[in-house]
Amino acid sequence: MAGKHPDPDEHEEMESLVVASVLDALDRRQQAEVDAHLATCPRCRTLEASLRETAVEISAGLESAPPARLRVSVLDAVRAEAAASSPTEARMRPSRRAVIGSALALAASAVVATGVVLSRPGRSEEDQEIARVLTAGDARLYSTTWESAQVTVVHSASSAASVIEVRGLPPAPRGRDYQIWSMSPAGPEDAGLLRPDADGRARLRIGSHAAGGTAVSLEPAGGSEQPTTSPFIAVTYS
Amino acid sequence: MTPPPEDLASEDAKIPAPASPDALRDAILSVAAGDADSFAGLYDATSARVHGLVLRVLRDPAQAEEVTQEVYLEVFRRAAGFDPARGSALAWILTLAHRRAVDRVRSSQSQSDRDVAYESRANTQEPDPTGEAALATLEAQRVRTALEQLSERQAEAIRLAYLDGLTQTQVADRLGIPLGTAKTRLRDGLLALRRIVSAPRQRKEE
Repeated sequence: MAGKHPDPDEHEEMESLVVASVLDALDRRQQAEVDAHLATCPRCRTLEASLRETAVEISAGLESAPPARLRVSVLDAVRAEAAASSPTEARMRPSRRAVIGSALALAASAVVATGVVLSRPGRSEEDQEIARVLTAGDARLYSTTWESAQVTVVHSASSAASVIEVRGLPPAPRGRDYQIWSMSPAGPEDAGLLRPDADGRARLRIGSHAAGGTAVSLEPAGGSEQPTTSPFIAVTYS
Repeated sequence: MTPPPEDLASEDAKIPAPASPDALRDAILSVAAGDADSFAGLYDATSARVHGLVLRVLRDPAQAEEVTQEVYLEVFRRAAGFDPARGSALAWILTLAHRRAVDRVRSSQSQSDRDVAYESRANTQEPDPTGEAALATLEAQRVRTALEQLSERQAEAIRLAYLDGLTQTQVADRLGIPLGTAKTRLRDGLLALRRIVSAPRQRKEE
């Protein structure tokens, strides 16, 4: 679907799809097509936002207080998540970031001093793995663009890994996530979610034994086991 | 005398007055900034709306409870992605809630559970356990009036899609009408509803 629909019939059709999307009345494939269109069409995004406010009114009057045990259970679960290591940079408090920063520095100096990684907390391990791919002797760089986004993939066969970096990627539409796929001979393998920060940037390591390429598709929030939409970014290793 | 424990009080838990859109927005932004304590306030202000919608779509109290919990965890995890410039906090939360409820409905096992639960309730004619009618607010009356202002065909199509969780293809099948007709009813219906609910506000601005 293109980003423009000047034809009145086409506009009406698009309007129907946006309405059905707001009502969650599309199957997954149709929904993915609408999401891809919305990512490129400000006019339809405006329509969507306005209709989402209208949809709020459909369930006004159906209020039903959940049992008190649910409140306890939800707040416990949220407290537990907040206490555990924070899943996103954005939610990280400065103190935590400083701790991770010094752990990184410590791990890095351990590598320099002994050539052996003595301490590898989660995030520093990820950063080291990324550095290893980027500096591998056989690293090859591939780049492509999608709309305003610049996509760079560095693949190292000897590391059996790749690193994907995006810049200028708009946030995924509500209730959707970008999902990365490692294209192996057996088919696409889940390689994690791509969540751009406020500046549209993200960098992720992809384990890719025998992979022939990398792709990114738009999926329902949390990702899918197999792609449900056509990838909008695809890189084939040569 | 000691106050009753919370669990007993829950039997007829009160629905809090709706929070202002600004208060909800600020609560999500606080949660996103790392203030997990704001979450309780956000839950209290919105859980009756979320649970009410999910319960209506799923028609099964146990599943509605599960899905409501999932919705709030998702709200917590995705709070940093909430952009107040793109819409209201309530619309954002109910979008997540509706999508999860519909996903649950469309998994086949859940569909059959739901049919069984619905059948048994329909057969025994039990009083409505959620007290929906008793909880109707002025806001809802405005919308009920709004839905009534739609043609019965448009209102029916919107109820089947949004409140029963049917796809537009299923709506067409259920009503025995062509898909194109179902799409037109949904589109014209929601666009008309938008005009109706926004009309008083527009007049005030003029």
